[in-house]
Amino acid sequence: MTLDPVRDALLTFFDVSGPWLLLYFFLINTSYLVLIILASVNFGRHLRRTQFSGTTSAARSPLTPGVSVLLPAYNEANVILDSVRSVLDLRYPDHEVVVINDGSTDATLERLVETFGLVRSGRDVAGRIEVRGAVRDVWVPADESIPLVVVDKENSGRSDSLNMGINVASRDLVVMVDADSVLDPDALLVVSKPFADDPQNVVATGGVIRAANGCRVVGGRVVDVRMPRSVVARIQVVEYLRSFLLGRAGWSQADALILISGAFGMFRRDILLEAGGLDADSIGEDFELVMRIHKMMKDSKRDYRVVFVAEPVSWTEVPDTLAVLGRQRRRWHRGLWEVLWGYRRMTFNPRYGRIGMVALPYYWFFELFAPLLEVVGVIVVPLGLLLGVVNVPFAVAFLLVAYVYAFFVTCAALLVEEISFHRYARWRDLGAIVLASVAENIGYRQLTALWRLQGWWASLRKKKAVWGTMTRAGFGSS
Amino acid sequence: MVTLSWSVLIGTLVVLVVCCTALLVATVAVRLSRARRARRHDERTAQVKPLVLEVLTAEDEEVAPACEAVAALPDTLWPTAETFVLAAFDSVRGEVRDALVQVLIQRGTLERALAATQSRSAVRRARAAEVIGLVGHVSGRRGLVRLLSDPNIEVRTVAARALGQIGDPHLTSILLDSLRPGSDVPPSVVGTALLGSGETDTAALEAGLAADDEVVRLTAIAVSAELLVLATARAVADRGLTDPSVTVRVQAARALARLGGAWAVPALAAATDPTEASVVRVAATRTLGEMPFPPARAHLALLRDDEDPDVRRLATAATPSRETAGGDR
Repeated sequence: MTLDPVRDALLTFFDVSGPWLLLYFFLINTSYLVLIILASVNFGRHLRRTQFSGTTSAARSPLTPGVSVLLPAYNEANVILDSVRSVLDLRYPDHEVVVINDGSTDATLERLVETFGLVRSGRDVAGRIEVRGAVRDVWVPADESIPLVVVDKENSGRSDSLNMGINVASRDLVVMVDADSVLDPDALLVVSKPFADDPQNVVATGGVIRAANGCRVVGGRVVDVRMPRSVVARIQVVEYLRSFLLGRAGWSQADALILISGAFGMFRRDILLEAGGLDADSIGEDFELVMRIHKMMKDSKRDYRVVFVAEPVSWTEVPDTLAVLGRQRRRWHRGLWEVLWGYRRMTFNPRYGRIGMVALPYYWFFELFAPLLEVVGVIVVPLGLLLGVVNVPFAVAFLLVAYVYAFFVTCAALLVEEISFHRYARWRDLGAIVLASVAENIGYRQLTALWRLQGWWASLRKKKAVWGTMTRAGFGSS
Repeated sequence: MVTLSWSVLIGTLVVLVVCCTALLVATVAVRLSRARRARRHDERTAQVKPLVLEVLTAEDEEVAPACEAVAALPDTLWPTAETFVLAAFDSVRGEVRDALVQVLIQRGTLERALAATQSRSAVRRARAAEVIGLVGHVSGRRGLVRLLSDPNIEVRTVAARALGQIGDPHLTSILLDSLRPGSDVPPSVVGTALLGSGETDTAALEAGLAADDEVVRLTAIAVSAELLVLATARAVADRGLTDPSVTVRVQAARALARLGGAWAVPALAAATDPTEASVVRVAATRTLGEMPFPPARAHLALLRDDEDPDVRRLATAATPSRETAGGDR
């Protein structure tokens, strides 16, 4: 059998797509760079304001808006008490904790009842958002000074539990937190500040999520920030730094933020009720919610803002095994595709301003399609080398340019982090970040691209979406 | 279309490698410089901290000698001592605070801050406003009022907060004016500053309730409620609950929980009308639920079957029927 047709096809492919692929690589990394520049403007302003932010004054003021912290819990018996205590202990003048026990089969509820002296309240929890999981009981502390409500309900998933929490919440602002997240003591003050500064327009804020792996946690607080030991987790620290921290700060600066992480997002409750809460069927429910709010506000021609707060506020354990990471990335990409497809009419629609004309096209081209191109490259380049249609030194130089540009973007992110927050104070951690940003190009990027593509493919085949289990090693809290 | 040559690729690669190296060197330089600054700060702190702590824990006749020791610190150590003293002002009251204010005046802190209100640097002007507020000396009032019109938003915000720390009720109208459109001073800062004075200028608050700007009306209502300015109560009910802004109506309904009497029940009941915005209805129902008056109870009984689950829940919780009353809680 002759390989000439394959060789010819590959040659044509390289001739036609080569310059375009390089252009794509250039554009995607340049867009990261632009976001980092925008983020550094955002950080500069944030840090300048932080000096005079008056956090202590806000912490004492009766005018600071009340916050309901929603903690959905499914089989979280090991961490739930620490979580509730750490949220109750947050510095804030008026906040309540709403735990939604999502049909846990372990001792989550029993531990809460025993520790906080809960009694049945018989409270009516029917709300404006329809929920699926039937409520078994509502519990409140016998000691009324503890601002805690525990809703015990049948298992119906995280989004449905959060919808229940929104119904039950009694404060103007609602913050959604994962039961295993570790919050900084001023997390609520920092993330609610935009609402206090601009009460009429701000509808949602997102805080910075950082990887807690490797950090020392004492009494539900991160007291010593360190790099994780696992290489997989280390690379995610770099990703969080580059994409989640700087990327979102950049989008916020451009007034086009379309994603607030489900692990720490604050919303005006009336807006959540008007939007109908989270979509319990969506696998990218946090993204979907923010998009729905954007659509609702733009359609009704109301002035509004969705703001990202640059201050680190929440720490979460990232996957440190490839199996768990793979499940997470498949789910994220599937969610991305479903939301982008669901809101496709907003894309390139001038009616939706920067959201429609900049943010959504960016997510289509540089988030959704990126893994497809990466995987195509991973298949085609080795094939070309095998068939001798690729000039080896040229291919190596091409690859190096692409990866060194990616490394350059990470270095820029690292410098911004060093100037602004400087959370990884040890020299050894700085070295680990640099090494991880080199290592991510060798295998990690390609693997995550493959997982993301699998997630997309699963959605196109209408395969049933599953959340899977996030195996957590825990923070070793003392 | 783009054509790629070997030299273009290599050239790009070299430029990128140089840029990466420059960024990494910059990162290391920033870190080294921070470490050096921290070390110097720690050394100075070790010399200054015990003296300042001595003042803060001093009693009666120990205060004066302890303050003298702080005031006598050499110029090289004074900036560190000044930072400590100012940071402690939030939690220090009475004789110790007065003595420390004198130390700051003696060492020229207030004078420098007053001069810095004219500085070209916005950060310096904001810092100056903060210092004047912390010291709380009336001589800084004029400078702070001027800074309320500063071109920089940070400076305006800090000046508003600082005026609250000076605590002069005559500043009510000036602070409310600082919420004028385009000023962007957060209403929560102005409101908290007005609360800081402990008492307020009722006429200025009444004028605020009738202001054209929504944010001013909102702040005036919130401050009236927190400071229990009963003279404004009727205006809050009459104007606030019929305000064109939903946010203001919600604030008015909430304020009446503190300001309202039985006379406010009809206005609040009207605010629970099904044609009203849901958030206003919820706020009015909650306030009615906090009122012990029979007309409020009677109206809440009507709301027990309301279509809005939040209104229904609040009404039911406030007027438990025989079947649900008592129980566990």
